[in-house]
Amino acid sequence: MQAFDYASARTVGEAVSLLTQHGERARILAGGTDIIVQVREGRRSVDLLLDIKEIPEVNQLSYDPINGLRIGAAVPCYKIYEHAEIAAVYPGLIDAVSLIGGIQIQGRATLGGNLCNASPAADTIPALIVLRATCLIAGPQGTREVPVEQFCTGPGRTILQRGEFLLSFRLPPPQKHSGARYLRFIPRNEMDIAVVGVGASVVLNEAHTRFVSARIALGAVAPTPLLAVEAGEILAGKEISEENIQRAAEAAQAIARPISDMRGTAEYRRHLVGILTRRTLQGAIQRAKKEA
Amino acid sequence: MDLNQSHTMLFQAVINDKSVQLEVDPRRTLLDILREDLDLTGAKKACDIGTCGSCTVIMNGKGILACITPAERAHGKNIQTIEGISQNGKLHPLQEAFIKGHGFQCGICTPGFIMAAKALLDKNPNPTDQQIKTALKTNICRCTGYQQLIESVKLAAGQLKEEDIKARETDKFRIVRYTDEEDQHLPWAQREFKIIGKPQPRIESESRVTGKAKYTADYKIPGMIWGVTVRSTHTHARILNIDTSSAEQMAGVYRVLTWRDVPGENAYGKKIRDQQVFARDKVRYYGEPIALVVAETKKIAEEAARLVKIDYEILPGVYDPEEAMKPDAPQVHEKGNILSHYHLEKGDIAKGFAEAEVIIERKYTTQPQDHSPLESEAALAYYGEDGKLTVISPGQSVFFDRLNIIRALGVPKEDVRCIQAAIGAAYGKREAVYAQIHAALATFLTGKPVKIEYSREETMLVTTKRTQLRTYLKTGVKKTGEIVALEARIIGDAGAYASWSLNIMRKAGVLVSGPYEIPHVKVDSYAVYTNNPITCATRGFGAAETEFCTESHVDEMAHAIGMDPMEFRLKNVLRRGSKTSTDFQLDFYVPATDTILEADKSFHWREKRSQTKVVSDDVRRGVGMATIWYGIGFGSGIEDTTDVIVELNEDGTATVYVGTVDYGNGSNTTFAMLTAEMLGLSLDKINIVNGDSDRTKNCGSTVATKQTYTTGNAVVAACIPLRKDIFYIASKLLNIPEEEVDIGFNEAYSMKDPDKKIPIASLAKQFRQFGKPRRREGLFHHQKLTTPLDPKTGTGKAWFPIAFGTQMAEVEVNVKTGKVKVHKIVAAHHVGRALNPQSVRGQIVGGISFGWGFALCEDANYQNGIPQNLNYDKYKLMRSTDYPDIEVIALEKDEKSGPFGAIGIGEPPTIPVAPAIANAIYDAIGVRVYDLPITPEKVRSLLTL
Repeated sequence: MQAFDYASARTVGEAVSLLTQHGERARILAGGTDIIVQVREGRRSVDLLLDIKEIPEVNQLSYDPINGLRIGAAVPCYKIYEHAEIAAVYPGLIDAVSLIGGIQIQGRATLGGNLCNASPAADTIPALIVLRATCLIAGPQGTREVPVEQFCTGPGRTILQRGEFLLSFRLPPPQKHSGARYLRFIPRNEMDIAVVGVGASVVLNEAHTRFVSARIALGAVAPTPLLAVEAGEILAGKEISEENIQRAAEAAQAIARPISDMRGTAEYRRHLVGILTRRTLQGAIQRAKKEA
Repeated sequence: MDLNQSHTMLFQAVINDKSVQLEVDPRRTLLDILREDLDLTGAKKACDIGTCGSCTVIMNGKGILACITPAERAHGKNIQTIEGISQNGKLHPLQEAFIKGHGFQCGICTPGFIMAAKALLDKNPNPTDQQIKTALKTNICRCTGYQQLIESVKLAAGQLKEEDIKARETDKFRIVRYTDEEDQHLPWAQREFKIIGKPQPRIESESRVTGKAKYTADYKIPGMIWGVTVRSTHTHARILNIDTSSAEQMAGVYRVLTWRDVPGENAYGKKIRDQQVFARDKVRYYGEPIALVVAETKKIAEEAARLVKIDYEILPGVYDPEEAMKPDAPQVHEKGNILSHYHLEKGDIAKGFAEAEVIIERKYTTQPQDHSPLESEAALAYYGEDGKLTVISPGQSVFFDRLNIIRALGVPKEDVRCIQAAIGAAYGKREAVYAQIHAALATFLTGKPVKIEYSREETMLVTTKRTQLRTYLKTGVKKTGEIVALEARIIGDAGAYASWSLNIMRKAGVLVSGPYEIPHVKVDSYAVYTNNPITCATRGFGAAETEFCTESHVDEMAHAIGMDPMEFRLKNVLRRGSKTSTDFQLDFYVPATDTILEADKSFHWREKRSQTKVVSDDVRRGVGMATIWYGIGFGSGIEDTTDVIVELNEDGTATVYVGTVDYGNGSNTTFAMLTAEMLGLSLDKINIVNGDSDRTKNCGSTVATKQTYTTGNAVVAACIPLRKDIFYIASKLLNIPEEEVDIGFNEAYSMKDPDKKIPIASLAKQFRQFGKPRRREGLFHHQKLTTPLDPKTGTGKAWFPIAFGTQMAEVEVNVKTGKVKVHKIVAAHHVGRALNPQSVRGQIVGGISFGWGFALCEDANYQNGIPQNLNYDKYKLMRSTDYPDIEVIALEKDEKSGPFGAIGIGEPPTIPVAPAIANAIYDAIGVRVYDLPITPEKVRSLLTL
């Protein structure tokens, strides 16, 4: 393993100042499930590994019906799915969080890490996008808030500037008659990286006959997870029908820009986007109907 | 703010209830600290990237992976490792349960599983099956196929009782015994067995469940230095220059070894010794060893290895075996790319096809499967107290290792001793030699203990794979159902060097005709050099690859003539009096038919087959079956003598000196059981000395499903005179006729008067007085049971005994995605006699998981000769959440030449899995995949929905 320095920050200010000094060659240590391997394999060049676990803001986990959900960047996955209230209110997020690795990984892997790795196939990102999650970013100029769909800029690349790091996520409280679902396709039953992942959220009218709005996000079909804007917009105000769901699925397929790799060809992936978009929409609708 | 630039921290933790304080580099992982600094080697380094669970420990009550936990994250925590869960010498209930439930085989993954299970049960003492599977899904077990492992967890949770899983008949396992008139005359016909046939725990159990077993990487010797291999970065290139000078100048480097430093022959291998200890003029595959840097630490050796400069002239490579056969293909070796050709001809193939009413012709391909024993390659060499150069490694044969080492060193065999450590499985991969010669040479030249440890990625990059095959198969069948002709052309990718390919492709050529009586057969089977990784023996080699083709083909023939595939098989399978494809007349019981009928009894073939295919809009179900045959032992008259010593000690124990290694297959327990049964002892009185070239005679290697039969026979042969003498001396001392004597439970006694008895220990002390030796040799010449195959026709007595088995599979196929889920597999295999029933079951279920991966997802994925899937994030093995409902039937019918009728079971269960699944997919959706593995995308691409 290459030589690097190791530091632990206790406040946001400390972290920002260290990150500012070291620039791109500083990496954050949160759960540490990926960075250790990336550094060992030489996939990341790191001069400074900065532990942020001591910073209170990255460890917060709170929900209330007015402000919604706040999840610190370093909160491990299991704390999210073991939180009964959060699990009940955000099942679409739990779909994704409980898919990351096995039990031993979920004890340490974090939502923040999953986003900052910026893998096109990351399971939690499409789920966060459809739930209108935003990222709170701390940096030399203070904090800024951006929608999750704008966070990744390419495989392994993010909008974080020198000195910046991800502090937390904010998810608005779910609207009435809304539901969300995340599904992925993998060859085995568990423990694979998504060949394609699709998240969907819907808001229905009171009679549960029409879509008020919908959001669809895709994973593993482009250099970054994608918000399929048009696919969601097609459904706004439309009747809940197989036909309309199919139209949304086709719109999602149209925006997918998959590559062919060992996990699947571009053609197969585009096909799966259609299948999964239909399934996640149906799942989201079902949940929305139950909510009411 | 702590900016730590000194690269040390005071690491404090409570580990196994003891406070630990250490100065460590905070960047190191908890796993390295446990293993290297604290000598807690129970947590294993198998993948080192957090994908296999072998390093699971419990930290503040939660199971975590030590390999991806930085020291800083473990600082101040309460940590429990496998070494800390037994209290006051008493095993933890999970450890007990893993022993009783046969929850392990090779044991390398076991500490991780036990810790993951403990984390679960501590929190949820009564988990559901699904919760157990989920809790264990991070952990990979390559041996067991998970069934007994999960049962062990349930045993610990009190959800199962030992009797529930050890009965001769449960819903997961039944033993069915066939007998006939002949069997009444077997020497053991009237004997009531005391040890064999009854479930016995593995004799090495405790060391495996406590983490005490030492695998090669777990050994540490004072003064030990490290070797790191410099490897070719091209698949095919001429070496113009090797410059080691910069590396040699680095502080801490002892030597940089190249071909120039090899004192003996720079060549090794199996039959054809075409591999280079270090590449000299040319490299033929990616990762071929060119040099070995020997340095004070592994880190220095790794850094110095990067400084070795090699100039290449890159040559065009050839990566497809069929391309390699063309005359203008790049030549891998000077003698041409065709390494071997086995030709088989029986009957008149033209006549056969003329008689046929339906002819089917297909091409099949199978992929390079990685054996994936979870223990990475390693070797440790040192000079022992006896002054001998000693090499510890996980090889499959200490004698084969030694032979290759002494040739390279140019020393007599007396100078080198090879010892097996505990082995984290092998499955054929370790029939080849990897780090052993290099470590030996480094110690030979430096005088120091030298250790070499490959990472998982290095292991999967440079070790051997299953031979990938291209099989052209053509058969002719009559409308009444008789197969009349079979013609096959098989091209096997040997990779860059010969290794076992000759044997593999001969075996492929014989077995491709399947367990069927076919009058007209013609086969041409080739092993071809390419610039791909070397291939080697792999569980069920020559059979898993070809019988996938044959059994898919048989299914097509049945459908083509409108016959039920089970009926079709029953009509054509080999039976008593049949002649095999190599014209070997089987004048004895042939169990093929009974394996089909027994599988059917559990599976209900016709009923299942007639059920609706439509499960839902997206899902179809289907059933498929496959019947296979496989040769036990080397066969074809190839030298295969096994030489075992059994000594009855004066304290009433016995020691078995056996040269083969037990890499998790359970053979040592089998040998102990046979000895205990023969000598009237309890199992705890038996010591096995094995895997040591100095202490045992050459027994060949642990391969070809031959431990139970071949080595078992030698063990029995050694015991026979001892048993005879025990009976004789007992009759004298008890003053009763010999016929009245029986032995068992460490005593000899009168069958008429149980008060007349004497401990075997007392008897053993009298051997000298009676002029009887307590040490006996047992020989078994397996080669005498077969004949060399005729060089012209390829016919002859290819194998004896022959294993038969049938598996039936039920699958669901999602027509939208192409994903296949295997729901159920019923496996009926003839085993002769199930000497240790739970071990037999474990071999069958484990074999099925190996076949499941071969069928559906395992692929080393060569791209221009370079395997791409080098760790378990990409190379997909079955996990606990994948394993289907498996029901095993051990069909017993004594093989009179076997030890108490047993024939062995290691490899056959792997063979029928892929074709049974492929046939079930066809039944479900009416399309057939001819190329393994059957990925969702391949299935989907065949559907036009």
